[in-house]
Amino acid sequence: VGRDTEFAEYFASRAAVMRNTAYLLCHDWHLAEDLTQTAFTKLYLGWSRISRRDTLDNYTRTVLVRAFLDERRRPWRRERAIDPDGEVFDVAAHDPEVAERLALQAALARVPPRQRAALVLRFFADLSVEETAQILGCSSGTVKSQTARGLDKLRMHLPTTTSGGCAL
Amino acid sequence: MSDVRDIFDRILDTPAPPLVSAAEAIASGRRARHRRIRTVALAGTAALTALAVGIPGIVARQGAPARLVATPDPAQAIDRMSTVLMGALPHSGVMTFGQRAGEADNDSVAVSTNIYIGGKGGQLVAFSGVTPQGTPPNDLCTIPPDSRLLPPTEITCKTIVLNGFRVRLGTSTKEVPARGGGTAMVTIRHATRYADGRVYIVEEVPMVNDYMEINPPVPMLTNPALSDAQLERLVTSPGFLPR
Repeated sequence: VGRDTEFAEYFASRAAVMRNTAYLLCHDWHLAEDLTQTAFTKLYLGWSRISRRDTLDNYTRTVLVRAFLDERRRPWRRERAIDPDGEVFDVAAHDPEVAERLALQAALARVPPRQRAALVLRFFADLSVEETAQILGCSSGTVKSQTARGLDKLRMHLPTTTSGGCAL
Repeated sequence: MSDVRDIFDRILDTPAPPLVSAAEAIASGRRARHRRIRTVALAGTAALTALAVGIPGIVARQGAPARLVATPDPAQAIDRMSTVLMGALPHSGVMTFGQRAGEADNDSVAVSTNIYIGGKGGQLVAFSGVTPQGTPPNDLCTIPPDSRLLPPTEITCKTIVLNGFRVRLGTSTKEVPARGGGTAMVTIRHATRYADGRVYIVEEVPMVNDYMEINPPVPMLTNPALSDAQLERLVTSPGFLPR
């Protein structure tokens, strides 16, 4: 019972943040939900083995990011970047804010998955290079280069009207 | 790089579907734990050692006084139960996975193995868990099957006495997804024993774990690997008891 109470408290406080992380990675709320569920299920299974509670966030993020990267290897899950000239933007044409958000989302979707994961972990989760490297299972140097390339890609695809695009 | 964060925040500024509740997440975790119990296949070197023990060894030890402790050491319990379970299988005609298997927490221990006889497959599972019930009634069939392992749809049940131990011997049905679509009904045979606040269960399932994912398909067992008498002897094995 104590285990479930602790887990429920942690879930209540962190599930939304983890799902947002997942959404930035996969830009699909349903898949984000699946990834979050996967991460928390594995966390539940390993709960009694995780002695340091200050590592819970990174444990959960590790499972989530790796589940995302694994998911993308499945042939039926191969994602396609949103076509900025496609109908999705026609739908949003009447609302400039929605159109801009979709354009940002499309730009992020065009960043390759590992580079996107590096960006999300570094700049959304505020993790250090070393922590990001641990989660991605690579060296700090690789994280730095993936981050730099990711930023280049993101900048390349950002709409020119986006203020964030100029400052990157 | 606050601009990148700003981009992320703007992307997230969109209506999201409601999150699942903590209770649902816990339920999902419990289901996963249960699946893992059933999924993990048994044995490795422990199994090879165990094959030398055999059912006669189990029978011979039945008279030994049992030292009962509420919560066994999980790792040791897995090893011990694996050894007893694998030792109970017939020496010829039955193949098992050669992988180590088992799952334990503070309240329960479970081990399982896929078994193959003549190209057909099934699964043998042993479970031990704390039970909140006090002294069990004389007729064990008045207690419902333990839901941590067994399906509720019991079709037969009888209480027998073996070497002074009461054993609940039952069969249950369970609906499972069928290859090629639809569902199939399988019959699970199980033996249950209660001792000092714990319940001990051995069950034989006529299909292998993850049989939906295994290609080529493994047909379900049509003849049991263990007889009822073997299941009864197995569940009363002192090797299952905590030390």
